[in-house]
Amino acid sequence: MNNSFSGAPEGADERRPQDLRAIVGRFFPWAVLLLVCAMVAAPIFSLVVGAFSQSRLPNEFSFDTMGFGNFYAVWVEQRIDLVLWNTAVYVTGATVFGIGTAAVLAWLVERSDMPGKMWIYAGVPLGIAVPGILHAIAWVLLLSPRSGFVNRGWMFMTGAEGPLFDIYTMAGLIFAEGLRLVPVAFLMLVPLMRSMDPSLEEAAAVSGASPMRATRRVTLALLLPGVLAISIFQAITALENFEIPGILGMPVNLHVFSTRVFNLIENIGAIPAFGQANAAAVFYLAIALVVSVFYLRLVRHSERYTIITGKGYTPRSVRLGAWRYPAIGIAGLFLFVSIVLPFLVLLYVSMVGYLRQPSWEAFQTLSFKHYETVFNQPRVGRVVWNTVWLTLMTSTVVTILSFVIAYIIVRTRFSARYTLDVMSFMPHSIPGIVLGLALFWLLIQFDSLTGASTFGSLGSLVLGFTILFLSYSVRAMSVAMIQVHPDLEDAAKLCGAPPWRVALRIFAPLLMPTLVGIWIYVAMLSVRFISLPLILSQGGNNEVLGVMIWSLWNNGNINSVGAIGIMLMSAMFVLALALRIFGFAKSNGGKSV
Amino acid sequence: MTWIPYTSRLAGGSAAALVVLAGSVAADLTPEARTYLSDGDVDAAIIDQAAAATDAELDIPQDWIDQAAAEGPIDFSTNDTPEHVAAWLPIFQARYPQIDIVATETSGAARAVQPLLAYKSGNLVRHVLVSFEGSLPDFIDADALAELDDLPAWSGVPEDRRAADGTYAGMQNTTWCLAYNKDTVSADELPATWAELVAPYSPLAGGRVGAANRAQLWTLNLWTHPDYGPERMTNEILPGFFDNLKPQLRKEGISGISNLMLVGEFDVALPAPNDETEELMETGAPVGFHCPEPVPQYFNLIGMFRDSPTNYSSKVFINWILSQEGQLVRYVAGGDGPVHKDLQIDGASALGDSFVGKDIALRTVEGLTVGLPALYEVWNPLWANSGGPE
Repeated sequence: MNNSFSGAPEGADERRPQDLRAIVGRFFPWAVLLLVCAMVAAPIFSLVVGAFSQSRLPNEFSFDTMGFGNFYAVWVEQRIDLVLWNTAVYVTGATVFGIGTAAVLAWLVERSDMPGKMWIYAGVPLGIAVPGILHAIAWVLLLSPRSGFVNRGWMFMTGAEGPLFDIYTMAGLIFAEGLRLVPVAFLMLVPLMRSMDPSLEEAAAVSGASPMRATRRVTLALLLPGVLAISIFQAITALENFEIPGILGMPVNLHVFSTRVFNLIENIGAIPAFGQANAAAVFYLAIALVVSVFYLRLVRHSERYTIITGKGYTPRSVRLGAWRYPAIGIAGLFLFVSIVLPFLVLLYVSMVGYLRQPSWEAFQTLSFKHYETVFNQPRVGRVVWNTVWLTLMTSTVVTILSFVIAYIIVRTRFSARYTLDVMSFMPHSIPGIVLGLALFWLLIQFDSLTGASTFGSLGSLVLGFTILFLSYSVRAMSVAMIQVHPDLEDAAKLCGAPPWRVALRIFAPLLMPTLVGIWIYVAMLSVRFISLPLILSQGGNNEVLGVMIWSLWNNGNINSVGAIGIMLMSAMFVLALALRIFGFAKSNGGKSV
Repeated sequence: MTWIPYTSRLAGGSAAALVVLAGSVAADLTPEARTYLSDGDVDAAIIDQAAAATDAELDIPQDWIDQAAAEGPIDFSTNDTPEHVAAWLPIFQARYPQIDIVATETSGAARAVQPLLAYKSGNLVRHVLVSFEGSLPDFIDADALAELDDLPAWSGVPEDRRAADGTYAGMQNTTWCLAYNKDTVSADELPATWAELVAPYSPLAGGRVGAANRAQLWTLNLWTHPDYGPERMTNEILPGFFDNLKPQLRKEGISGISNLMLVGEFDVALPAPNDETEELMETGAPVGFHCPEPVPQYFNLIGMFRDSPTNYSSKVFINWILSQEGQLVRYVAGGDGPVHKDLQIDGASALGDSFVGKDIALRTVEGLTVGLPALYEVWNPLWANSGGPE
């Protein structure tokens, strides 16, 4: 393959436009690599240096006051070992519960004759549309031990003195986070279930294996590597998550890493322990990195477990018999619990006169007055505008940048393309709260040195989100780009098309479903993600919806949370549907174009 | 705090108004402000008093107005709810249409500490801020606050509620008591004093009280009160609070615990501010407000950063907040108790019936800077050892 990024034409003494293009072509990949390295390394460097800083405030930083005091304080005084244990239990529990539930649903949809599959197949991914913070708030309203609607109903009906289920426990955290993991795990597991070659199971049966033994020794054995990779991917997601432990764990001192770091910089009435927060974040980052390396190693050797062969096959459906209807009942229950119930409880809260237990009297007070109140607030309009601006900018920047990076990795012989690949994957290991803290330190220092005003700007959030979502989008883009045969590109170049025209006329149309899919998915993530904005948000300039919901919840404005939550969830459902209709669904399904 | 009888204050105000009217063109409230205050059931005489004061209090140099018109929106870090802001902002802008305000309700480090850090880095992320008492010493150390004592309304703030160097002032009085669920708490269960609340066998003991971690809002007032003081607080009241009363120690903020009280998490919310509790009552919720003596009261501070890009707009805005017009408008909008020395009258404070005439324990600036660190040394370990969320 010969292209503008691989080197200048030989024997060109005169500096013609083609030569200039070749020079730009030669240096462009290095510029991209430098940019990605700077985006990833600069905040992390700032975070680590801050962890050693003994100064009280970030802008009092000096190399003369460096030491290990913060690490000692975090380990001994803050008992980070307990946080480590909590995090391990929480992540493991949520992953097992989430993957287990998703596997059952995926198996029912792909490998059984359960009726109404399409509803489940269409409904489960809609769970992506429910932001984690709204999920957590809904569970508090339902399962708070003393006032949760379900618990109060239970106590009223049975006369019990204790709650049915206390959501402010480790089990509650695992339950809520596990449910949140299901939609993405389901989408990852469905192709895995679909691509199982039934001849392997049939061969086991012909060899005399019982159905159970065939399932255990063949089906599960073949699925295991894929399930393990998905589990680790989901574990990283749970490890990063802040919303669920922030709403459910922090009120009862049940801290995981994300909430401990946040807690250290969110003290009421005192100067926060910034250095200690950095030290805790360094521990947190190290764990996330180890898990990510493990994941990368597993994925790198995935070819050992290839189960798709060149021959055609049709996956065999297992007959459920009498279990067909219980199966659809269980799948329907999942949809009700994970999507319908949170929506209904927020709808109730958004319409009831003042917050109280559901009753006939309460239902008589239902109205839209809280929606009117929300619409009459200047803050809401500004926050919505900030959120829309942030979403548009982040989605566009991430899509373009990931296109460029994937092109260099997949389509050029750039000598440092593996480094670029690794650097663009690195942010996957950086939890949002850690990156927020790292950027907080970096931008404060940057503003001090340059006189700029980056801290507190919307641009700081765009930068943070671009870093966070880069790994996912580069991966998705690379996979799609590999599917486009180089002949098309070479033909265009032979006809004299410059790289930008090749990109616009060849790649853009062919990759449109992927580009749209990445754009919409990043847009959804930008709205859902609150940990990074919680640290970088500074007032009207860059307050976004997630931060406003967090603030309203903490300040007890629960009716407004309900009203905003319902509108946000409705918009997210539209985005989720758009993703299904216009996004990856139309991609080429593995066929080379 | 002394409550001056309404009639005396009215007479004084009217006299001042006559003097002003005799020597100048009559000034007045804007029609929007007058209508808003009338609709908010503010007594006509008080409205007239505020109108008469506008000539002096809102006598802003034209140069400030001109310069303000060229500035961008003020970034206002506040603890007002969005509804509250939506109520008072149009009245302010009826008088000053050229000034725009971006108000954001914030809490924790984001309200004051992070803006201070940004300021020290040469970046102003907020221009005007309120309720920064917890980090006041750091603001003073950083010399971050601009002088406000050239504001025409500055002299309306009592001397004990403003900085001697003119860099900050009290903007509203808030009274902190108990909010309780009237369906579950009977009148005879309510304590007359704080000592009674935390005494052994209190009828509200055993988790019926939900407490927020806000020692600075009520215990600090008792810490500096002659009947209580550091020694009694350390040895009797605070241990009694945690060990006898055994409240639910909550992470939620002030409004949060009042709402949780309504849905049945507990029966009594502590501490509860008079303004927000009144708003809750107006929704029809079965909420009561009760003040054990001495009644904790404090004034929230307002200040503005030096070198602000909205220097003139911010000064005009703060001046309006401190003026009688601004104080009354904010009182109607959100029940904020006026701090203005001419508005310490019956009928100008939310739920005043619960505490007017009682012994008031006022939180002072000295209490904040000297007493609060000492109180935290006692409070924080007790809170943590009792399992309170951090």
